[in-house]
Amino acid sequence: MRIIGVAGTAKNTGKTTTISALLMGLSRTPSIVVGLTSIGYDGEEIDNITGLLKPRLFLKKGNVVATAASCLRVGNAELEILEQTNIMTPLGRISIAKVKRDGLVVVAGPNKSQDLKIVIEIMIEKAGCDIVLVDGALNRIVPMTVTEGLILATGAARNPNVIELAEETRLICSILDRPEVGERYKKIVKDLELKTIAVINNDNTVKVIRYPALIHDDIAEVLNEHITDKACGIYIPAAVSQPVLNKLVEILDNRLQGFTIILSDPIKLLISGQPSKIMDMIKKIESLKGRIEVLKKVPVLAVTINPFYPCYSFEKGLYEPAYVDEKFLKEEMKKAISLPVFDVIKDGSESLIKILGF
Amino acid sequence: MGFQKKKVLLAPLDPVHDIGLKMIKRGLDQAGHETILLPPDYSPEEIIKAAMDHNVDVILISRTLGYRVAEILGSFIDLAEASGLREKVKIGIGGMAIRPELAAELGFDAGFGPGTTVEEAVAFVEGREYVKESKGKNKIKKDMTEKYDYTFKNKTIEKLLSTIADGIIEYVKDKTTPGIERAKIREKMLEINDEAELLQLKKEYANLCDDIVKAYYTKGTLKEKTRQLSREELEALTTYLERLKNKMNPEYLQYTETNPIVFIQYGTGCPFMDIAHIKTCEAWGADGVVHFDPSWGARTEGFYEGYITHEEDGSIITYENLKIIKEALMPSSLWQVRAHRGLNTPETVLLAGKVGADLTKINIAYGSLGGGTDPERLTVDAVAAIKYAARFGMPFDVVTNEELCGVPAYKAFAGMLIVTMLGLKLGARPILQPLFCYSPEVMIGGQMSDNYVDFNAAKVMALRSILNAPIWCGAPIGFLTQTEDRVQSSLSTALHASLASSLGVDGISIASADEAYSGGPISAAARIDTLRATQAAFRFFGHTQIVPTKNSEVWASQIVEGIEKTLEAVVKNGNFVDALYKGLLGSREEGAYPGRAGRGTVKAYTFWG
Repeated sequence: MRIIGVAGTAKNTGKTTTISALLMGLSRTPSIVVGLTSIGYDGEEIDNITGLLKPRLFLKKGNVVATAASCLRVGNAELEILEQTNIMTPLGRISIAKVKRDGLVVVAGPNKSQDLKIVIEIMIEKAGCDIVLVDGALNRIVPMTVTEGLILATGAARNPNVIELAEETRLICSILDRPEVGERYKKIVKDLELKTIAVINNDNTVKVIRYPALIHDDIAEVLNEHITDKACGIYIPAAVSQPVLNKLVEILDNRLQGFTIILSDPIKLLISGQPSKIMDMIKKIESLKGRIEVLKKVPVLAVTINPFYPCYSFEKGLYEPAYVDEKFLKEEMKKAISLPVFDVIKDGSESLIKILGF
Repeated sequence: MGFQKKKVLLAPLDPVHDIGLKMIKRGLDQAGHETILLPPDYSPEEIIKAAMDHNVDVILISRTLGYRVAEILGSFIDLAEASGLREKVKIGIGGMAIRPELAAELGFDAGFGPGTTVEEAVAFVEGREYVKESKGKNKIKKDMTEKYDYTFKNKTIEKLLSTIADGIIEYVKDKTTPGIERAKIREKMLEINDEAELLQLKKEYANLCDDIVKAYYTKGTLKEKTRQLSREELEALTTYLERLKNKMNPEYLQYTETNPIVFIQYGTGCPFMDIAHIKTCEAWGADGVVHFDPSWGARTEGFYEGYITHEEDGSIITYENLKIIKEALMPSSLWQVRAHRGLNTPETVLLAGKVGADLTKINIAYGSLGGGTDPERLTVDAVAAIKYAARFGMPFDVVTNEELCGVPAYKAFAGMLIVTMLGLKLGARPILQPLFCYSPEVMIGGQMSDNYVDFNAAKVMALRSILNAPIWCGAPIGFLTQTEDRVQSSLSTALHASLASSLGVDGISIASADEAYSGGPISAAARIDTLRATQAAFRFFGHTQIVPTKNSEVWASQIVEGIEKTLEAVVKNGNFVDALYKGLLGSREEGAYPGRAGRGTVKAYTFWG
């Protein structure tokens, strides 16, 4: 796998620590050219929001970084610009640069999917990267659809209640693992180049509405007007709001039997509500003999866990570091999910890197 | 409109805050764009649906940042992207806590934090690069003297001053001092390349110095707590300045064209540290900086050489020290090297001129009555120094710090005006520098028992009624009104700055917020305090005038009368130097003591051949 994203469930769940561990592990094989970028802002010394110290990003000579203009000189790694893109960010234009001398880097890369795709392509095709690591930002996950595999970073910063956290992680992984839709529907979407919500009929005809996302009750109403007895599926290319999908399910009710709701990828569903409610809704659809499937899966390769969380002290008026029991966290997480679970600080990165095929 | 009309959705993703958006909306409407302002507290889904329904080009979100809000904004941007909006819609975020780094972290296309202008948001909407108008970066060096012709409105005083100044010029014409001779040698030393000749000149120079300086030229030793900066330190300075160069985006303090130039004073003892203070103050808007030398330096015959640091207040004057400071300055910064009170006055002005200072400071009356230098010595030296100032085109201020000893303003002003007239006769451009503070005179006399405005205003009004010359209030303004409380100190400085501005003066010198009570080094944060406070005060008052009470006019008249009487007494006495010794320009009872440093060192010109 060449394009690996590290997505977090919240701030401070260990995205950058996971990236750092991967960088360190991969550096043991100097022939591998590693590319690094971020959909946010990483590598700074102090957290922008909590004011607490953050892990730094260290790149070895020969590696490649894609970052914004104002970050090029912030770290102490010596960088040589290979290509300047036209992609603008709040911190300036994105450049792809080669590390000439080992050192710390600050990374603020492209922050949306279409830009990330372009940058990754340059990093692989022109800069010769064997692997590109994409650091996440906050709880943002949508640009990660561009990656080939995802490492999910979660931890006490998302929820210091370990039992609840493990259950939520199980649900997230399960949602991301929605099955891919059959070839018939894939072909219809591809052939008709569907860009907005479409009702697919038994005879392979479609009826499109003007909205790409199902995020408002009004859109569900508009959609309902186009669902006839012939309808056998709905394709939603963009975001799906769980409450609105619920409404649609209520409208369709018994008609859901044999009906397929097709999403472009599971992330479009994941971002719309609480994982538990999303899962309840999936179960409801399935209980009514309907299906909810995706055009493209986003494979989760592993889950990394972080016992740290910033705890706000009202007495001092600032955030302070706090930790949950790391052993308990790992045990509960392993019980909840079937994917590999790592605490990269304790476990190192060797096993994680093997999963990536290096 | 040079740009394509855009459709912009303005959405406060916030329960209440939408003032910024309303301002931006107005700017966008004026620029011809179509705007849709949503009410506060819409959900992310509702905002995104509105964007789809209206088919907008740009979304501007405003949100104050609080606990977990970053995640909310992250979710919003995720939802916008997952809804397919971001392929054609640009999304900006604004709010008090927003910085470009945070906007990048949140995934927005742009972030608008405090200080964002409507124009900046409009540029983002129009897709053009916003070039922030940096008044600070475009600063130009100002000449405080350029609009003054030095004509006297008070002809009586003019005549008295002319008589006294002529007397001084006559008095010094066949006299010289070790200070004057050293300055001549120093100039030759700076100009020649011949090693043997230089060695000979150094010997001659050393012979005119006190023992602690002579020891440097003969044995290479420096006085205690004093050392040369190491090569590593000088290299570190170069690196520091190089790094700073790209970061400098200076503030601009003045809000109106009538706000005065603002000076700060430095003299940490270490030129490297001085430069750090200077750069901090430049970054926060200071227009000029004043070099403070150590008090022992003023009482010691002769200067060291090299890059020298020491562990006491005041930074040692050497050609090299001045040069590295000069090189570190922004081109727009005014730089004053003080020469007003010591045994090295002519050489200080010479070095300042050679290195490229913009201003110097010379006052015989203060230097000899409050500064510790013998009146005769300083009179002779000052004339030579003023000639250097004229030669190098450096205006000099005439400060009345003897007021701080207790000398009443009118007497101090008489001394200041004598040196001013002397300067004019010698072809220089003097600047009047009245104290603008809570002086001992008013503490005893009660002129400031009601307010700090009237008497300070009276001083400026009095000087204005005498002649048309630049006024630079010093030094620092508000002195003795500031306390150890930095907020109080900053406010007091800012109010004095506002009063000075209202009176239309040309320059002011301000202290840091911890200067009066620092008990040690002044901190950078405290420097920023007073610069920011002054900037805020200039913004607050704009062109508004502060109106003094009638007392100011009464006191202004009394000051003018006092000046006239003092000058008459000096003329009647016949000899300016003698008048200084006798206390006509400030007596022992008033706290002015003729200085003793350099007494008996004035010689007939032929003494040194």
